[in-house]
Amino acid sequence: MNQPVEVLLSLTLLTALAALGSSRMMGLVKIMAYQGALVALVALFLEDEWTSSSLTVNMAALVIKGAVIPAALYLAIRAISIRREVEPIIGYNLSIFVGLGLILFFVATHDHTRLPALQKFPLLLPVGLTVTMSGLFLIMARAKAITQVMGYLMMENGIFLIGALLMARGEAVVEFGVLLDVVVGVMIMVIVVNNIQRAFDDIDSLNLSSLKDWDDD
Amino acid sequence: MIELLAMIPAACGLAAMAMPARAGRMVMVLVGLIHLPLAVAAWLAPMKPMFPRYFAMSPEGTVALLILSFLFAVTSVYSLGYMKGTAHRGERAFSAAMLLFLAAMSMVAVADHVVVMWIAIEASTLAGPTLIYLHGTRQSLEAAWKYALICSVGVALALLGSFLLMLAPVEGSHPVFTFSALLGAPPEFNIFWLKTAFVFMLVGYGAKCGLAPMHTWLPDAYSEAPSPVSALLSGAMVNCAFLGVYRMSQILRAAGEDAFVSGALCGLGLLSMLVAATFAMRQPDYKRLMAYSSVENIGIMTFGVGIGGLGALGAFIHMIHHSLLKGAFFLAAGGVVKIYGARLIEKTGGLAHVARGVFTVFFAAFLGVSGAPPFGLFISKLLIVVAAFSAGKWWMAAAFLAMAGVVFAGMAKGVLRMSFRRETSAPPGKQSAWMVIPSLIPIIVSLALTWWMPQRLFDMVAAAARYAGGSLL
Repeated sequence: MNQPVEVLLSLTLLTALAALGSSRMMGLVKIMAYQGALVALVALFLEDEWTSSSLTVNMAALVIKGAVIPAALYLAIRAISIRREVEPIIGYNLSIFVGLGLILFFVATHDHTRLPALQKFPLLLPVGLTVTMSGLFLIMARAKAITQVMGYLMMENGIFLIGALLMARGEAVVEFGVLLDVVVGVMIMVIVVNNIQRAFDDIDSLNLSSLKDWDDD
Repeated sequence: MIELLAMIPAACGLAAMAMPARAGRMVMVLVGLIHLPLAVAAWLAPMKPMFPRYFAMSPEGTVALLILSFLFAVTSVYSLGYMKGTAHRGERAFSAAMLLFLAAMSMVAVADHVVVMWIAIEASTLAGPTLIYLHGTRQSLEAAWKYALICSVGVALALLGSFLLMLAPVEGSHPVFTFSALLGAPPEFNIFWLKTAFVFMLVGYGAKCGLAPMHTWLPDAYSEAPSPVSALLSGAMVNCAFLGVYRMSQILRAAGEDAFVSGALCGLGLLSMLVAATFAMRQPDYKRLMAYSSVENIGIMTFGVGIGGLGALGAFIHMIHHSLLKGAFFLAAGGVVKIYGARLIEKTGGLAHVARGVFTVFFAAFLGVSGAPPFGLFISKLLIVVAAFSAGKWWMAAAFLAMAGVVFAGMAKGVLRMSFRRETSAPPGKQSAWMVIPSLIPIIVSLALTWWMPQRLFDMVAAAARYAGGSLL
């Protein structure tokens, strides 16, 4: 069962880099859909044996991460019919370099810091951490609120990878609870973004700066 | 049956979404009034959990649960008066979100499974934006967005920490998922990953508590949220997130990493106090001023746990009194907002002459929150300082006292202006009974507990502090 996991993990890593270099909103949504599906598939292949409960949760993860959340993001972007560009604070090329740097860092440090429980899948931890941190970077490096939601989603995908092996050892209820939190969280953020669009005619989060401690004088 | 504490409000919250606004309001108050005796019962006659794999009563959880339950009961009654004559986006959503918020926080207090606790804390984050955005202004929208994003991202890092914690035991040991098992029969940990897990949990749940430097959402959310919501955020939610930090620190202490935990917690605690002191000095908005006082107080609690022993006991006593007094403070501030129609200190004045009732509560809560003598926070701060001195951390204790003094000065400057400056024109609003009576109750309870704490309650507080290193007395 080792090989499909490694292939899927490598593809996941590519989606993270693609997301960092993506300049179009719709393209980014598509990449997030692929990434969500890949991550859910990795979890499926990590299962020691497929039981009905583990299959149910993994299918739910596949549908939620690969279809439901991307669909919600797609509809939100269409509804607010914003300029389709991502509007980077930090440019695409530099972003990709940051992504490559993260990969390099986590792979290089991995030899010294093995997690004993993940011995069987050596790629899992570096890929999971790279995806998580790329998501965090995306939140900081993009101006639009909706892009920040996607960064959050990417963080959750990376963390999901790291937790997948743990969750595969039983605890379907808990895994489902985590999924539910993530999907509700993304929905709520999308609703807030919609409201921001209506109130400000723009979803640039740089507009959201009226709250501060005192006016500069 | 301790799951009922979360299940009843969750079910009622979902039902309230479909009810007319008036019925939803009644359900909210009713659940608030049922939840309190239920929580007390769960404490006095320990109930068995239905799902012992996920839930268990713990002393620190019980402390947070009792505070939460009491504060919610008071706040739900208060919000009956508050919602009248307030512009809002829909009361139905408000009642439902309040109940779901209560459900999520109760679930945090009774959670034992590491990831179930995370699920509950994230759920309590998700109930927040609706509550903060209640007034429907642009500013409250901005606050809701910052809260949703920063807390969700922070809490996501805590999930990473939770997973790493469960992966950290060395190979061959039995996988452990619950806090009680991790403490009761700790497996052998890979120390590097245990520490990494702690750092992620501290950053993640610390962001939710409002520990500096992850506190940036807090002043916005506390000041823009309607006052009853601010009271719950600062009085109850903070404690729930703090439970996450505290439990994790217990595990590291049990693994013998005392110095590391102590350094991290004392450092972040003092930094939070420093940030609060910096921003409280010239703060023009009184709700933001109170928010920075929350940053200070969470810093004090964190510092106390970092010192350990007597300091941890002080931290839990601090938790009780801070929640009650700060809750009352925000409820009273809701009255002040209604009377003056403004949140700037400049636009208020003469509260002592205009509205004696609100002034009494507001001023008493201010004295209490700043740790003036007849109130409980004086005792808890004293315990923490004494613990710091006896642990030989002289400069830390000195910095603690200096910064607490600066925050007090900053708060006093604002509150004295609001209370006593003569105002020529009469303010637009009038005082009513709902502004005074519900917010007076927590102050009275806090005072009563300061001078007479039932032995059983004290035993539980001491038990909550038991794992925090050092020895008690």
